[in-house]
Amino acid sequence: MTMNWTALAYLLVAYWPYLAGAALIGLMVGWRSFTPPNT
Amino acid sequence: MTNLAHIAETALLLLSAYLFGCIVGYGLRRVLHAARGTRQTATAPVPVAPAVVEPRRVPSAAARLAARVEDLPPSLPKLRPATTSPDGVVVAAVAGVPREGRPMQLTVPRGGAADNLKQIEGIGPKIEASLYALGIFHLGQIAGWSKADIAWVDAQLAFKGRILRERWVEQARELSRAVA
Repeated sequence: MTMNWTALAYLLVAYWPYLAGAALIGLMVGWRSFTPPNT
Repeated sequence: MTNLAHIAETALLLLSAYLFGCIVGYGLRRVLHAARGTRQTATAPVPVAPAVVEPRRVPSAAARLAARVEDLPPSLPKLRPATTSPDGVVVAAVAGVPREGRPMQLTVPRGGAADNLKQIEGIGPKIEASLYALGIFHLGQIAGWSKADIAWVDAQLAFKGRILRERWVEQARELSRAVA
C-alpha cells in the first residue's frame, strides 16, 4: 500500500486545530503520567 | 476515497497527534525533573573521608545508620561531613546510602518543643503532623536530609517529588541559619 501524501497533507491542513487539540490533551496526559523516581 | 476510509484516516491522525503529545509531555517533564535534580546535586556537599563519624558523640539513630553503611559493599557508601545542629547534635552523618536510607528520626522533640515546620513554604498543618509522626520535629533535621532521606520521606508521605519541588531542604537551611 502506498501512502497518499496529498490526502495526508490535506488532512493536516484541514484538521490542524483538532490535531493540535489532541496533541495538547496528550501533552497533559503525558505530563501528569510522569512520576519522579525515588532517588 | 470512500467516506469510511476518510474517517479512519482522520481518526488515525488524531490518535497519532495524541500519542505524540503524550510522549512529548512525558519527556518534557522528565527532562525538566532531571535538570532540577542536577541542580540539587551540584549544591550538595562534597564527599570526604569517613573519619567524621565519631561513635562517642553520635546519637543512636545516626549510629544505627552508620552501622548499616558498614555492612554495605565498599563501592556503595559515600560519606560527607556530619551536619551539626546549633545544639551540637549530629543531624546526619552519612549520605549516599542507597534506597533504604532514612533520615534521622527522633522519638521526642529536643528540648521538649518541636519547631514550627509550617515556616517552610509548602508545609501545612497536616503535613507538619505527618512529619512529627515520622519523628521529624526540627528544621535542623530537614536541613540535614540527603537525597536518600528525601526519597524516603517522599515515599512515606506519597509526595511525588514535592520536597524537591518546594525546596524544603534549602528553606530549612535558610530558616535554621536565620535562627542561629
